[in-house]
Amino acid sequence: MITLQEYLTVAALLFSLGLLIVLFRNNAISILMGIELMLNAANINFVAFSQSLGGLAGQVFALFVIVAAAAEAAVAIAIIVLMYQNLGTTDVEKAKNLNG
Amino acid sequence: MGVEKIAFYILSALTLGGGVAILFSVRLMRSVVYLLVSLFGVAGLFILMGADFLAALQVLIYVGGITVLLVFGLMLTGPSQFQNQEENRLKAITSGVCSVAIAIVLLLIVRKTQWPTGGVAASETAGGIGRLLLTQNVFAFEIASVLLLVVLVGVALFMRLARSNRS
Amino acid sequence: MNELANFLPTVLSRSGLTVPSALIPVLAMFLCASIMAAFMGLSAAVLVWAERKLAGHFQCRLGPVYVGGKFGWLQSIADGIKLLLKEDIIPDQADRPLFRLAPYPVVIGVLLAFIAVPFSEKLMVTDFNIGVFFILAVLTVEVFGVILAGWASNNKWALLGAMRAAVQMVSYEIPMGLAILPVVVMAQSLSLKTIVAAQSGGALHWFVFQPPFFMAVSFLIFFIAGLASLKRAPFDLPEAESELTAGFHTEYSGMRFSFFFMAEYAGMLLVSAVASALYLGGWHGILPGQESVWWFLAKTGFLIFVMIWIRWTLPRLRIDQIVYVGWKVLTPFVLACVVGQSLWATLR
Repeated sequence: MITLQEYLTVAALLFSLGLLIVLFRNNAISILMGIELMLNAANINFVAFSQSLGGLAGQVFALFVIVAAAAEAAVAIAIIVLMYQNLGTTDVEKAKNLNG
Repeated sequence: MGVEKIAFYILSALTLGGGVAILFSVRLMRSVVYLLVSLFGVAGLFILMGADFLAALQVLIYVGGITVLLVFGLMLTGPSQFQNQEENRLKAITSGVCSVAIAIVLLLIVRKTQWPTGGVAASETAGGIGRLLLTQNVFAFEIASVLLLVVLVGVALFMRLARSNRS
Repeated sequence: MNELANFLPTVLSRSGLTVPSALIPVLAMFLCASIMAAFMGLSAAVLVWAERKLAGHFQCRLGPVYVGGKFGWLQSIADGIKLLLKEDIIPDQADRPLFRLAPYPVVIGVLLAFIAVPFSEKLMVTDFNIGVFFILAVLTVEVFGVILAGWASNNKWALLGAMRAAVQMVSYEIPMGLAILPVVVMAQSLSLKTIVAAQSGGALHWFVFQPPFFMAVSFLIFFIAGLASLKRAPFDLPEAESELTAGFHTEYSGMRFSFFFMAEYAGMLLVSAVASALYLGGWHGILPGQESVWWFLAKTGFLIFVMIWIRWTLPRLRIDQIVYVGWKVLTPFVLACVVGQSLWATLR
């Protein structure tokens, strides 16, 4: 039997990995991947709690997270493609037009 | 050590190993493959937790939707963007410190808290989730569908903008 | 699979082998897996032969009709030997690890999906609660392998084929998923076993022939989307040989090419099997009370024949036409079917 804590540990590590990728990488697509990892870590938590508390509320919530992740990825990819067309790069550090 | 435990360790290793590989890989196409490995690991963990419907959904949406979308986005940008740029050292150090700090805090919370247990996991997930979606969570369900519609329209508009930019 | 696990100990004890009881489920799993893999390989070989032969008749090709004396039976064996003996070439500029990896997701996707196919009431690996959904999910893995192959080859034809595969997938996936819903509404289950069991009692109880025929329409849509998912004519754009040499597998040769080849034919079998389980009554015969695997195989074989027939008679669509068909024709129709079927089910 695998305890709740073990799942939570994996999720916590995955979340910090995702965060590290988001903070460390400059490329917008890499950052998007980091965000997906963080959302997945949250989903592991939801499902683990749903299993240990009984009922399906956590799984329903995880389903909504997956929906939001799909929507977010579509918008993000559109933004990245537009950014590449306007700036010629997907490096977020170089997108400084709003700095003034 | 039971079969379940071994499966858990293998799947966690896949999940976390995929994440680490994304962090260190230079070519973006390969990081998409590593992301795929990681997402499959998560799907496997869902199955271990008895959430079979969610695991299938994870594979369907992430593999069929998001990774394909990522590859597509990658192909629509130029070859100069297929590799990660050199990161500077300061950024590496600060981001490493931040995420290690967060990891420590999270792990401490996981260790120290008395988590409630003793619930009975539901046996029939698909039907139960469907029932919950159309009764208790019907409002959130409708909002999610509006969100998807807005995204559909918004992205189409974006791409039209992109086309007028080009001409 | 459970039957197999129960059956194994007696066989083993009779043949004088002693195996620890903990290993029995594992052994049963391996046996199941190898049986399925062998079945897939064999059926792929038979289907290749059937395709070549039918194509020979449709288009007056002489070879496949006569190879090996009678019926051209030697054709797929000759094909197989040729493929196995060929050199496995990896292009110089290819992304080597990805290039080697790409065929595996394609084969694994199709092979995994066979787990949930109900050949008859007893003859299936396991009955998932979410059977149909599982098959849909696993099939998407295949597309990723195709895209990976196209990318890793570092060849413009291959890349174009991969892009087309991705675009095509985005347009057929939605009608295909929705076309299953009317059946699920009627059977009130996602498990393929339950769905087939709900169609017992003669041909008039099969879901295609049920009034008000929403399911007949969704069967057509499922079949069309299934053809697109197999990348077969008229939807064979990712490998259109007259424009893209061989599309995403241009650079593949030998064993790795035969993986793609096998996956395509096993995929034909899979889509036909799922379609006949969902809409054509699965293992139920035309008259009430007839139940056997052979009915299932006959229906599947008929659908495969239709697929081959379509391939050798219809010309190829353009990519924009596929997107048009997927989004503006199939999706509205299938949505109407879902709504209509749900109304019918509640009002009845």
